Amino acid sequence: MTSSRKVRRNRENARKSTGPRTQAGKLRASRNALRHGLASVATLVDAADVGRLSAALAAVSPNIPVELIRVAAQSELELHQLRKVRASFGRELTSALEEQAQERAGLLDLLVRNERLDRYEQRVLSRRRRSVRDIVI
Amino acid sequence: MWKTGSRRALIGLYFVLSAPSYTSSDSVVRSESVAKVVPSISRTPVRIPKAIHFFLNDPPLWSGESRDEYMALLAAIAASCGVRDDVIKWLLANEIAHQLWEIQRYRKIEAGIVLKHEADVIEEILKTTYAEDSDGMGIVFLARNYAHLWTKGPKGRKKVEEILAKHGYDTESIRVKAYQRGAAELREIENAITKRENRRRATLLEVERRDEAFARRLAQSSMEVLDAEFSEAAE
Repeated sequence: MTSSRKVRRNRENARKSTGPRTQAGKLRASRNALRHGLASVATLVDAADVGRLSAALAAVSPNIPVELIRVAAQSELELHQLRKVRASFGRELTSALEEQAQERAGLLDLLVRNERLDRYEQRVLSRRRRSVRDIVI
Repeated sequence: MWKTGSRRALIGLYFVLSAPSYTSSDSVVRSESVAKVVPSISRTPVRIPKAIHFFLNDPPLWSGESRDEYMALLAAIAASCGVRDDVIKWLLANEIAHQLWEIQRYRKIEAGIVLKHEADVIEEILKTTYAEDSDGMGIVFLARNYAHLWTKGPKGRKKVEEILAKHGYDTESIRVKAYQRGAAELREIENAITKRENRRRATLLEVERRDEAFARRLAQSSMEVLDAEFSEAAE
């Protein structure tokens, strides 16, 4: 059982902590929980690109509401961005394949992890499929 | 209907990927070397609409993969399906190209894994067999060298096969041992390939809703690419 003195000291020390103070520190701390960034890939999509692709899609689907077109463009670009992020994990995999037998032991783990990350792509793919259906039919 | 010319064009395009060139400054995608194989394709290069050029021209590739080869594959599929200015058709053709690319990527990794395990098996066999009939000098080095030679193509492979034959091993027995060693990794790769195959089929079903004829052409062209891949592997 923790003594009441220790609890009091812990609380006092915790009050002294104010977290990161500089901008760089805050930025670093904001990424503490970031593992691979695949869940937040939407934030990497450039709004200007969405506008450009929406315009192109609207030209071939003039009777479709603008909002649906925009969703389709957004999901297409998200999928593209996600695949680009995943490509960096692929590099680890190919370099592991180049290693000698002993160092290659991690290859299976990398393969398993690579396929585990695939669920993010599947999620965006499903969204893209629905959105394309919306603008096509 | 699928035309014989288009089939030849697609296979031709696919097989000249080793030395492709296309002009990326404008949005024309074609392989110059295709002209030698299928002249009709080179006269009608495939043009990516400018509006989607910004991201179709920047495919998600792994390190060591060739952008030119990807673009040649996309061009081959687009040309064989008659994709012109329809942006949605381009996006769908690109999706199929991406899925085919991924299948090829995993097949290459699969082949790489088998080859690595074969080399490991050979190294081990040669280490033990040499140890039995020599004084042990340089055994490790020699075995590793021969294992390395095995991975360097048919010429080196033939020499190693002769040495292995002297010790009672043939290529099949080496391959079986390699598959046993890499079973878990190969299972993972097979799962990945199956997933991509299913995804390609789902995309084709989706395309069917928009344009049945286009879906048929896409399905046919992607099958041609996969067939070409298997023929190439067999050769």
